[in-house]
Amino acid sequence: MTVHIALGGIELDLLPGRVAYRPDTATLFVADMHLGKSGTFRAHGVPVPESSTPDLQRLASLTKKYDAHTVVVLGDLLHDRNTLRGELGAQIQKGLSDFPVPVHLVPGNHDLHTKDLDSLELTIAAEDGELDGLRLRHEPDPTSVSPMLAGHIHPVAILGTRGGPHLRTRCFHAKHQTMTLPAFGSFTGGFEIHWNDGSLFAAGEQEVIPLNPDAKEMSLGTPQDPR
Amino acid sequence: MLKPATTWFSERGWNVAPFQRLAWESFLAGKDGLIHSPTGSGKTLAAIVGPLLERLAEAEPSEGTDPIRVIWITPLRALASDTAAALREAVEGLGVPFSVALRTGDTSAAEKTKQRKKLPSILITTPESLTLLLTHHEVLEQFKGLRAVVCDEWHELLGSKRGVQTDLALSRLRKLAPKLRVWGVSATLGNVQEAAQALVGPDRPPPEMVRGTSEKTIEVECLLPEKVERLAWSGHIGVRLVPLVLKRIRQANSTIIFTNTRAQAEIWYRALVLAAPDLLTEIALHHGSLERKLRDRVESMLKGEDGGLRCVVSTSSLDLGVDFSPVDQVIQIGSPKGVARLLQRAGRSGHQPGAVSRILGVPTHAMEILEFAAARAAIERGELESRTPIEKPLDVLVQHLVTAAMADGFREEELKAEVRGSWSYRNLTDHEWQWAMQFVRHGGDALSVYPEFSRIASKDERYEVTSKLIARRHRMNIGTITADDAVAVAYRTGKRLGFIEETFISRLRPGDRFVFAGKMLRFKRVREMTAIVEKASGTRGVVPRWNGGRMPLSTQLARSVQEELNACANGDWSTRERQRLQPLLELQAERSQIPTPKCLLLEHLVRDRRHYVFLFPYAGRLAHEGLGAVLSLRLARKSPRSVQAVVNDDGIKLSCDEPLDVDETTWRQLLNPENLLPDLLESMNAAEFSRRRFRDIARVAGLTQQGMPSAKQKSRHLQASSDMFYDVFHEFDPNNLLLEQAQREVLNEQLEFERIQSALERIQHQSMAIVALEKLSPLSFPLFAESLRATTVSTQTWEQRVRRLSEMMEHE
Repeated sequence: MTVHIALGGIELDLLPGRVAYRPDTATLFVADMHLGKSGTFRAHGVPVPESSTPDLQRLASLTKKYDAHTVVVLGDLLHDRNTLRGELGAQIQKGLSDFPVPVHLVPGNHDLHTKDLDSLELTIAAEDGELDGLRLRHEPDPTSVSPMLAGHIHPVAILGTRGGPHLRTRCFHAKHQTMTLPAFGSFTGGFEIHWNDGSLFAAGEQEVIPLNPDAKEMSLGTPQDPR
Repeated sequence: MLKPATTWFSERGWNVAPFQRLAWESFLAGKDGLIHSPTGSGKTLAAIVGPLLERLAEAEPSEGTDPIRVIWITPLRALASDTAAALREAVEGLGVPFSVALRTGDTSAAEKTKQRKKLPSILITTPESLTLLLTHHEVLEQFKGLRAVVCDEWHELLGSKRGVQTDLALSRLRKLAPKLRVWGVSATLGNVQEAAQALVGPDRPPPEMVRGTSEKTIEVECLLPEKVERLAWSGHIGVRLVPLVLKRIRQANSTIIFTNTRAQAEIWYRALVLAAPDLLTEIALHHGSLERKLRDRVESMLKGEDGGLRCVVSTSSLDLGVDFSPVDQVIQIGSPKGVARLLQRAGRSGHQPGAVSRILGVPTHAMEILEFAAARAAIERGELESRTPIEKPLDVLVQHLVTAAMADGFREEELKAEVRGSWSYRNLTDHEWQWAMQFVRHGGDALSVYPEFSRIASKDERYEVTSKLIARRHRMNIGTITADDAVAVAYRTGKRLGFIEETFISRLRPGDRFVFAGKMLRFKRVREMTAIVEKASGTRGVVPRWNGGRMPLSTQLARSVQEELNACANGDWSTRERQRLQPLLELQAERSQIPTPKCLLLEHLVRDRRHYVFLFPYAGRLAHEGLGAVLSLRLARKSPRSVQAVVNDDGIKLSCDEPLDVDETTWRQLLNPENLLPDLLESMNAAEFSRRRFRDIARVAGLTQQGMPSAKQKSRHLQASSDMFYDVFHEFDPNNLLLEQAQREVLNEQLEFERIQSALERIQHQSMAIVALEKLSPLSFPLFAESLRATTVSTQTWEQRVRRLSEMMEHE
């Protein structure tokens, strides 16, 4: 199941695959892809299988599946300042120029230092901007008074009770006016959000699941099939 | 040729023991060898004098001291300086122009550089430092003149990845130095022949087996409580025996109390000083999580400094590595767990030749009385446990390939032969070799070649490390010891008490009290991986539980326990322990029957509408855990129901809200060894186990970096947890052999797959006794009462698990 919520009056779908979708503008939101991270590791002698290009393909197929007209990346599209200059850089450039819909990037801390960022086929948005009434920023601003989407944190929830089995899962995290998206990149870590801290939604591959009472209260039920 | 040694011995008033003579002669005759004895002394001289005599026989004049001739490998740094003193004494006594020096993680960088130019004649080092030396070109040249390597405490290395690392280094040295002989010094094991062959690899003739004289008699006594209650014996009755233990402590000048876990050591230390405040300054605590300085102080007091100590409460942290004069008595709290282990601990008392080694067992529940008796019987029969060498771990191989590429580089075929010349990799397949080579050359198998990756690359058919950066990273990372993330425990002043696992600290709230380092502490907050605490008063506080403290009963001891039960079943109440247990076991016979090696006992009962089955295979706690999960799964498959398993060292409890089958035909099917592996994997949620295991493998294979917080800060863009590697391999490189290795290690070490298998095969030849209980029997009672640590078979999806766990959290 997917989860349908309203953030300050703006309706959003939290979708399987770690993305959020805004039906009224057909926009797909994604955060923290960290493309090129596996390559950076390999360049330093740590063998990691390639995950950046598959991640980009996965985003493209989610875009098609939900028929999104625009994709907004909420920062940290790229991992390393030299990513675009490495062998993998060309593949990432090609992946973006072949991308089925326009891509907007709200630059994050990793992107700002990237060399040759302007060689990518995408629109670079403001670091703290607004799109159709929704504030977009890489780093969440907990004091935001208007509805906001952000990334940067890589939120995860740890489920389980004392002594029992535990499960760690990436999650969407909503608090006040801010919704923080889970990290999209396959090779990324996470930051634990406390169970009672706002609304937590487990971000699975097949389902998004409201975890705590706040999240259940926030959910408006199953959305209309966006397709 | 032995003359200089015999003269020196007689000058000192010593006699040359026959085993020492045999060791020296064998070494001089060019043989490898293993010196083993259960306890007792003289092993160091047996090993070192041969190489010294050889040098004396050469009678070549020397200018200064000789270049390196002997490497002495010790598993623990703490042992090194005591060993050095002993070796120097022999070198000087015999007048050999040898220098003796240490090289461990504690050696300063300047000293290390100096050493590399000219190594001492005898180098005392650890497996990790030896491997690091192998990465330096100038050292390899010097190693060509090596005559002897001695692996001290070989039983400690064997059976671990450090042992494998040593195997590989030895294979390398054998190739470099044609005159090399490898000797081991070991406690007695069930598989000494294998232990000896593991030292020299598969291609050399079997080493000389030199059995040390065991001049000591071992006496195992069990402290018997006045009264054995027939059922209420499940909990920690041990502390009730504190007054009796205190009496023994006061009777002796010096005592070591060994416990099985760090938590138990903390509990006993507190209980003893609370019961006898006058002994506060004379009792100390020693375990592996305490700050090094605190441990050092206890160790030096044990050696008689600062007025000495009357008693130390310790875990296995004092089992080896700390050389101190023998104490008057050794006390073991709780199950001995293994025969060899008890023997080694007993050996800490009465070191003088001819003296008696005494160990006093303190049972913490009724059945442990029988375990002490069983251990004594097994010692008398000479049935000791084996330590099985680890088979070809690929993470260690991957690390070794880079090490080998560093100094002079290697040719592939030559190195392959060399690696197969080590015991652990004797059966390495071409496929596995190629995979490891691909992994360090390209980061994966041939199908996915990543151009930006290479740790080693070929130049004129020799493989070499590609960059200085990789070389530096590799040197920092060499080794196979991995530690869990630990949080330091310190006062606000910065004085550190030791380390506790992060999971324990994360559950504490500011103000919570807990017991650590023998003190009652109040938790304030965590700051930069340090838990700030202050002293607290009161007597009630949580005791941290460290992971991995719960060892299973060894196969040998479990078998011996069954023999004891068998004797009791046949009415033989001839020992004190059996007499004390007689009322309890007679009740067992009355309500059910006593399990014997020939007959598997199954008891069943319905209580409060819940159905229970108790089974007593005597395969040890870990194997019972796996078996319990498999049986739950098989039962749940027969008809849909949720079955829960709880285990201890004696048996398994299965419980269910629906009726459970209790006929022999069904149970014969349930206990069939066929399809054990797939069922075990399915039932144990093996993926979660593998994930945890992968942490260590990722470290050894050089995926994640160990330690060095400052280095971590600098390379933020290179940070990744083993979890992230596990996920990304799982998704994009599922055939990665490191994943397979993680699963294999879980099966062998964590779930004791082979032990489950052999238990099921043994059961096939046993008869079955199925007893309907009217009242709980003494054996089933502890299992019935234990409800924690239950395994519920889970075949749920990610979605189901998330839902269930979040519901549980809401209700807490």
